[in-house]
Amino acid sequence: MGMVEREPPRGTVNRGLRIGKLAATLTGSYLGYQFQNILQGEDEDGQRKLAYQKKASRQIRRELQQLKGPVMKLGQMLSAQGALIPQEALNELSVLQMHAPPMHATLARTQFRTALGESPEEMFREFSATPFAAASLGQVHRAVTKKGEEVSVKIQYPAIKTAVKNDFKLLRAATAAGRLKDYLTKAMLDEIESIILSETDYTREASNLARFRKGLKSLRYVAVPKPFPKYSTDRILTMTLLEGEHLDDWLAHDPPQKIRNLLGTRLFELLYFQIHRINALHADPHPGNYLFSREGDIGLVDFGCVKEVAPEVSNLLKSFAISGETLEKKKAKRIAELLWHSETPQMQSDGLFIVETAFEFSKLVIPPRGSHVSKVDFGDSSIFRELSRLSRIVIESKLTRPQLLFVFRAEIGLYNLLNRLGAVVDTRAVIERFL
Amino acid sequence: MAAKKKKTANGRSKRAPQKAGKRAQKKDKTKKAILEAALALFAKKGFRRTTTKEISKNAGIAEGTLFNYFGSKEDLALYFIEQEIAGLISWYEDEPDIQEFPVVEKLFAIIQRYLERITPYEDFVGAVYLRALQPSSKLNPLSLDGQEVNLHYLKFIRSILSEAEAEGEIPPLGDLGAYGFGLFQLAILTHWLQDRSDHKEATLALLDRCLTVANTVIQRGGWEW
Ligand SMILES: Nc1ncnc2c1ncn2[C@@H]1O[C@H](COP(=O)(O)OP(=O)(O)OP(=O)(O)O)[C@@H](O)[C@H]1O
Repeated sequence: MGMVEREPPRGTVNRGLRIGKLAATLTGSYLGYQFQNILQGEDEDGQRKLAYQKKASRQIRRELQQLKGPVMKLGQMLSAQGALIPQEALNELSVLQMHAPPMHATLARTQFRTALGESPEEMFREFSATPFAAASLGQVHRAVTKKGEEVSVKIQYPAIKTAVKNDFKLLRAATAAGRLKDYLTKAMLDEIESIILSETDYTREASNLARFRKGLKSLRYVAVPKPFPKYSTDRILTMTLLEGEHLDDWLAHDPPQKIRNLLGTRLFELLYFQIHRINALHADPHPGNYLFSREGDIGLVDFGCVKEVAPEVSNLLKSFAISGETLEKKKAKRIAELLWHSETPQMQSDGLFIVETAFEFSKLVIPPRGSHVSKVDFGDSSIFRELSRLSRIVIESKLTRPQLLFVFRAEIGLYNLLNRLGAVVDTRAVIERFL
Repeated sequence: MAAKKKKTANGRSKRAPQKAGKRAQKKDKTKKAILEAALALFAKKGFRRTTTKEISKNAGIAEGTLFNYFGSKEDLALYFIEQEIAGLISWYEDEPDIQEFPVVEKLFAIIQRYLERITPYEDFVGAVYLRALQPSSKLNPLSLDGQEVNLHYLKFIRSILSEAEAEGEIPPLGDLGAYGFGLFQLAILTHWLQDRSDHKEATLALLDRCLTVANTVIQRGGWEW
């Protein structure tokens, strides 16, 4: 996306954000925190937590380039409302990609004690005061329970809810006038805000963890952290610590093709298993949320954002997968009618185009039954480019249904991962298990 | 209380030169007992609804004796502040890891600890705060009594800052640093008193952000004239 190199954008939103930046750093603003994080990462001077800070800001920058997180959410919401937001405005809003500032040990400890009544040192056998990862709302620490279980403790930055609310007040003011008004209505902002606010409640994430642990049990190679309600509140989430490496580190060992393929196949199965068997999706396909072992096992973290998969969508994907080279016109029409059932006949017939594009996309990923292609090489850039092109058509269409959209995004996230893995996957064989 | 009386008896049996010291010690003990009783009542019933009668009863002394120790509620408040500061400083000196913290975290820990200590007495602190705004009050930071207490604290802060300066952690600030910090702490207290967020977490966030920003600004240097 090249966000970082972009010239400073002008426009109402941006002006609003800049004003916000001043007030924000002090009054509690998520945006402000993020600016600060980035700035702090720049002037290095070998202080205690600098390595961590640098890592956090590098992470932010990387994520900015990928335009994910809340921007993605923003895009989803906007499309859901049938609006199409200009790319420039979207870029401006991508600053919303939020990360709370790092907390020093004293602040993290205070936060923990305020929430749970005891300091982490009292509650755990061991607690490492330095966090090992940054999270969007706080940071993650390693600890060992009194029983000897290794856990990860996610601690939320104080008053994050207020900060989010402040930002949205600001965003509303910034978008109330000018050209953005038509794209970002108050109703949309309200809805996005409520989604982000709901993610500030870690008890929801804890129940998602429990749900997916159960749901994914039969996939032996997938680990989902177990939540520890005793050491968790809405601001603290304690869960088992998963082992494994992030994609970049994993790739740095130059794993053999066989393992890459195995991992690719598993990741592919993991996605479709969620769609067809759990009917819910871990909806943040960001690579940082996966931890890989040398043997090709997968650890999945960050269940803050989970989406229900509608039966129509699951059925749509199944009917794509059982079609041959072409999707019968009649069938495509029926799907469009089903997906746009509450819309005008005109929209239903326009929806047909989306369905057909999505089918082309699906065919690239899952070769039709009886096709001479048996495996898909996700490392092949030409396939990947074509996937991106088709997905843009679907994602940027005003008509795309929200339930379709996040599944699509999850797919793209997955193929992105498979592309970086250079995995060759017999996708047809995997999909057949679900048909 | 019973233990105290026993000690008094012991004191009387000691030799004369120690007598004055013992008396001061005993006086101190009683003052502390009164403050303790008062604070417990303030926390339970609120500052305004607590009577001197109740305080003296809870402290196990006669109401008249109370006035020998504290001529007014202001004296009591001033003593409270003094004790808080002494408590804060000795906490800081005994806290094992704190010496290793970066200076920003030290200052954060001090204010945080201070706020934590006064949390049970918010009501009382609020009353003291309002009172202190009056120029005629002993509690006013510009009054002589107020200044004395204040200075003790500022010197403590200055020693922390000087240490950081000596180690090159921050550029030289001179006395400005401690004064600035004093004002800052007052501002934080003001925010804290009005903070209605859960566990006053908004103040915690504000404190953290302000110190981070202040550190960034301070690092630019050129503060000593
Ligand atoms: N149980 C765990 N075991 C191992 N690592 C973990 C665990 N939980 C979190 N992490 C690490 O911490 C990082 C941040 O955690 P998480 O993704 O849950 O936070 P978040 O607030 O959702 O952040 P973001 O939205 O940026 O991903 C993860 O990317 C992962 O590297």
